[in-house]
This record gives sequence, structure tokens and C-alpha cells, in this order.
Amino acid sequence: MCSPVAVIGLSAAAGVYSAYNQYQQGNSEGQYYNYLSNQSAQQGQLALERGKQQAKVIQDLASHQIKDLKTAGAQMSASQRAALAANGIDASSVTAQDIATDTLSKQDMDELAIRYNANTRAWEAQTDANYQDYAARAEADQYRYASRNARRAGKTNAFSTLLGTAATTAYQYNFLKRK
Amino acid sequence: MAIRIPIAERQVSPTTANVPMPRQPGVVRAAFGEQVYESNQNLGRTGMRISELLAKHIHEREQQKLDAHLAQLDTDFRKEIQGTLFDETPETIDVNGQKVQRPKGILTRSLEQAEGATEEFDKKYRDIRQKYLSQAITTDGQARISGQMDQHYLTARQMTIRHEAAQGKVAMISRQSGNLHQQISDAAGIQDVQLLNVAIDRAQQTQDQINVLSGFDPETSEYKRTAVAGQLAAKPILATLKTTGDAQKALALLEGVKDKLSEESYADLQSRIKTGVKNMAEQAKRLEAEQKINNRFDYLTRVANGEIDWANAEEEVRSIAAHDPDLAEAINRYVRSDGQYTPTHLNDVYYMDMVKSVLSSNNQQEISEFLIKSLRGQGAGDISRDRLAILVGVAKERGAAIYGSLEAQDIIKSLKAVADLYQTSDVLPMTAMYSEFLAKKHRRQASGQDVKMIGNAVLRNAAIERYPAIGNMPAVPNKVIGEDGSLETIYDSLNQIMIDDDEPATSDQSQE
Repeated sequence: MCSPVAVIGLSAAAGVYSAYNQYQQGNSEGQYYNYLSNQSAQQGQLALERGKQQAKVIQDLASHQIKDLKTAGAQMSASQRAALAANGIDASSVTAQDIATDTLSKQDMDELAIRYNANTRAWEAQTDANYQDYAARAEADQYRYASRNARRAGKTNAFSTLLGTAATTAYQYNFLKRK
Repeated sequence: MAIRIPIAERQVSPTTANVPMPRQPGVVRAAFGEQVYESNQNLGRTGMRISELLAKHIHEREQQKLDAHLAQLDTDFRKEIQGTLFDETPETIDVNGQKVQRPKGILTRSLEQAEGATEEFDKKYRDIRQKYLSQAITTDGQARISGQMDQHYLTARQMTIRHEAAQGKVAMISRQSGNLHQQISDAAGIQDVQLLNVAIDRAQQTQDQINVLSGFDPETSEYKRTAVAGQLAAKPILATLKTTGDAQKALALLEGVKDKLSEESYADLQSRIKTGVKNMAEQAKRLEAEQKINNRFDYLTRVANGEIDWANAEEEVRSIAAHDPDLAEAINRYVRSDGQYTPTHLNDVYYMDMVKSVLSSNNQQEISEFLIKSLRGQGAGDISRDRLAILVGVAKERGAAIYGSLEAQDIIKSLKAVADLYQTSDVLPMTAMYSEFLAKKHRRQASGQDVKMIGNAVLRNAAIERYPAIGNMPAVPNKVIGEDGSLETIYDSLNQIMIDDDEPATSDQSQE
């Protein structure tokens, strides 16, 4: 059988070892949450960048479409003028003017529609990116808090264990001393 | 023919903005401090546990203190009960105005003193219990100690009850036995058969009561009854024989109660009567012989002291002759010789022989015979009064020594030492020595150690006279060459001669 002193020593050593590992566990969890926090922050930044890029791509596409639209419109006007001319209608006649105006008007309307649609989709992309960034930053903040909490919990647990160990050891000592 | 002109159509129609849904950020539970509060909870629990341990520790300490206190109380209580039961210190109490002493301890009282022991113990226990209960501090302690005390009390009470009952019984038996002994003792005076029968009946009745109290079985009871009859009958029968010397009367008493006695008792009493008669006869003879010896000593002392009126001694000599012819004859010769002494060598030798014979004799009768022989002279001449006085003195001391007197034994040792110191031819100095010793002893009325000292002084003087060198000897035993050339042991104090004398005390008491 072990001597009483050995029993008390073993109990105290086990308590101290447990407290140390609780402290280290808190540190480890803190580091883990810190890592997640940084990841989330970067994720937000990437989402913002992506939104900007997407908006730019949409606007560039709209510019090409407008150009195409204008080319198609000029072709239409030329075709109309040719048809008018072939039919003997003077290009300066009211009818010719009305047809030309109508064609231009419709081209303008299409251009406006393309611009409007591009702006709308760019806004959608940027807004979505902003939302993603917000969410990522919020998560990063939470991870940061979680990290701090994990460290604090680790310290508190270690302190509790040390305190409990001291009390138990003292009680055991007194108990065995009495025997 | 209709004119065909291409008309522009709208290619793009505006689309409705698809408003993105704000994205819900993921919830990190650990961010809300659950772990922290959980750890704080643990800390709180640890605190509670510590306080529980402390409370437990304090409770245990208190319990230990209480246990120790109760153990002490229990010990004190038991000691006090022990004292109440077994204290042998005497106490004086007042019983009906009379001071009576008895032991304090209830169980140490015996017989009548044990009466009321249980009641007294109950009363004392109530006081003792209350005393210790009030010292028990807590209710729990009171409950515990009272249980222990009551348990011990029950055991002690059982003992007390048994003791009181047993002592009561013993007291009754003792009273009856005392009465029976008194009856037996009183029976010594009975000389009538009828009265003896009545006394035996009464004694047997008393014995019956003792038998019942003692719980004897019928066989033992009957044996005791018969034995009592034998004991009681023996008293008057043997007393009658002793006081009256009438064996017939004693036998008549025995025959009168024969039916009440066992065969053994009857035979034993018969035998004792016979033995008694024989002893009485022997006793009478012995008394007669002793009387004769005493008379011889007295007459010889008177002769030696010159107390005999020789002119008118014939009548007295005749009277002596009736009891002791030898003495009468010896005195008669003395009467004729007129007590004159003419010393001769032959007389000295004879006288020394007589002295040594008396000193070494172990029988009173024999000693008196030697005295008579000395008085007669046996043809060796007459003995002078002073020598006769010495011889009678020596004979008396020897007689006392035979009967166990230590003082007389010391004297005899001294006298023997003197006798051994001298040759038979030195009778004069030896006689002088004896005279000096006996005279000093008589004059000083010495006894015990003084006798030894006188003996030593006289002996020392004699020794110095015989061997002058002794006067200069050291106080230790020494070897010297005597006059005849032999090696002798000499002491400067002859006390040692006497003390170191290992000769056993001669006594014929045992023979007698």
C-alpha cells in the first residue's frame, strides 16, 4: 500500500497537471477561433473584390451591346433609307422623317434599357458582395470573441482545478493526519 | 404594289432589379461566452465544494471534540459508578441513633450491611446520571451519553440485585449458623440425657433451616443433620469426661443419644472417651512426676541455701520419704554429714562429671537424678552447699532450656563453654566462674541480651586467666599455639564463641 504522503502528493500532482492542460486547451481553442476570424475577414474582402469585378464586367458587356445596338440601328436606318429611296420617297419627306425618328427613338430606348439593365446587375453584384463582406466580418468578430472567451474559460477552469486540488489535498492531509 | 419599308423593333427591354437578400452571418456559439460562464460555474462549484469540505471538516472536528468529551464523561461516569460499587473506604452512618461503620462501596458490603443496596444504588445513579447529563453540552451528546449510562446502569444494577440477594441469604445462613454454634457451645454444660436429646432436636431444626437456605439436596441435608447431632453430643460428653473424669457418665450420655448419631459419630465419640480416659491417666502420671521433680528442686535449693533446720529435719525427711524415697535418703545422708565439705581430687572429678552430665541432659527426670546422686556423693565424698547451689542453678537453667527458653539456652551455652575451657582438675576456678555468672545474673536480674553479655564477660575473664594472650588479641578470630602446642582458635571477644556456637538447642519437649 502507498503511504498517505504519496497519496496526497499524487492527488496534488494530478490536479496541477489537469489545471495546466485546461489552460493549454483554452489557449488552443483561442488560436483556433483566431484563425477562423482571420479567414472570415479575408472572405469578406474577397467578396467585395468579386462584386467590384462583376460590376465592371457587366458594364463592359453593356458597352459592347450598345455598340452592337448602334451598329444594328445604323444598318436599319440605311435599309429604310434605301427602301424609301427605291420607292421614291424623299428622304426629307415627313414619312421618311417619321420613320427615321421612330427608328432612332427605338434605338435610344434599347440603349437606355441596356444601360439600365447593366447598372441593375452591377448593383446586384456589389450589393451581394457587400452583404457577404458584412456577414464575413460579423463572423470574424464572433470568432475573435470566441477566441477571447476560450482563453478566459481555459484560465478560469485551470484556476478552479487548482483551487479544488488545494482544498482536496488539504482535506486529505487533515483526514490522514487524524487517523 | 405596296411599299415595303423595314421598321425598327425594340431589341432590349429593361429588366427588373433583383434585390439581393442580405446574407445572415453564421452564428459562432462560442462568441457569446457560454464557455466562460460554464467555467465560472465550475469555479463557483469549486468554491461550493471547498466550503462543503470546510463545513465537513469543521463538523468532523466538532464531532471529534464531542466524541472525546463524551468518552471522557463516560469514563468519569464509569469510575464514579465503580467507586459507588467497589470503594472500600469506610464510612460512618447513623442507624437508629447508633454510629455504624461500613464500606462506601455498595458491593463491598456484606451480610446485613448489603440490605437495601439496590435502592441505594438506584438513588445514587439518578444523581450521577443527572450530573453527567448536564455536562453533555448538546442534545445529541445527551442522547448518546444517556444511552451508554443506562446500559451500564442496567448491568451494574443486576450485579447489585444479585449481591443484595446473595448477601441477604448469606446473612440469614450466618445468623442461623451462629445460633447453631452457640447451641453447640451451650450444650457443653448439659449432663442430662433428656436435655441433651432436646438440644440435639433443636440444633437439627436449625440445621434444617440452614439446609433449606443453602439449597442442599436431601442426601446432603440428612448428612448435615446427623453431623450436627454428633458435634452437639460431643460437647457435653467430652466436657463431662474432662470436668468429672467420670467415663461412665460420659458413656451414659452417649448411649442416651445413640439413635440420633451416625455410626461413625458414635464410634468416634466412643473412641474419644477411651482416649480421653487414657490421656487423663497419663496426664495425672506426668503431673505427679513433675511435682516430684519440682519438689526435688525445691528441697535441694533449700539445702543449698541453708534453709533446712537440720536439728529438726528428721520429721520433714520422713514426710519426703513418703513421696520420694531417693530424695529422702540423699537428704538424710546430708543431715548426718552436717553439710560440711572436704574437697578432694576425687570429689572434684565427680562434681565436674555431675555438672557436665546436667549440662548435656535432655530430660528433667534425669537431671533431678543427677542432683540426688550429687547429694548422695556415691562414696566420692560430700558436696558443699555452694557447689550444690551452683549445681541446682545449672539444673534449673538446663530445665528451662529443655522447655524452650531461649535465654536459658544461651546460659547453657555459656556454661558449657566454661566447662569446656577447664580441665576436670580446675574445678575451683570453674566453680568460681559459675558462681560469679549466676550471682551477677541474679543480682542484676538480667534477661535476654544482658545475660549473654554477663556470660561473655565472665567467660572472657576466665579465658584470659587461662590464656593471658587472649587479652591482647585483635577482634577477629585467630589461631594461636596453646600451652600443649596444639593450634587453637582464639577470639578477643568470647561473645563470638557463644553466637557462633552451632550446637542445636537441646530440647526434649517434642519427645514429651
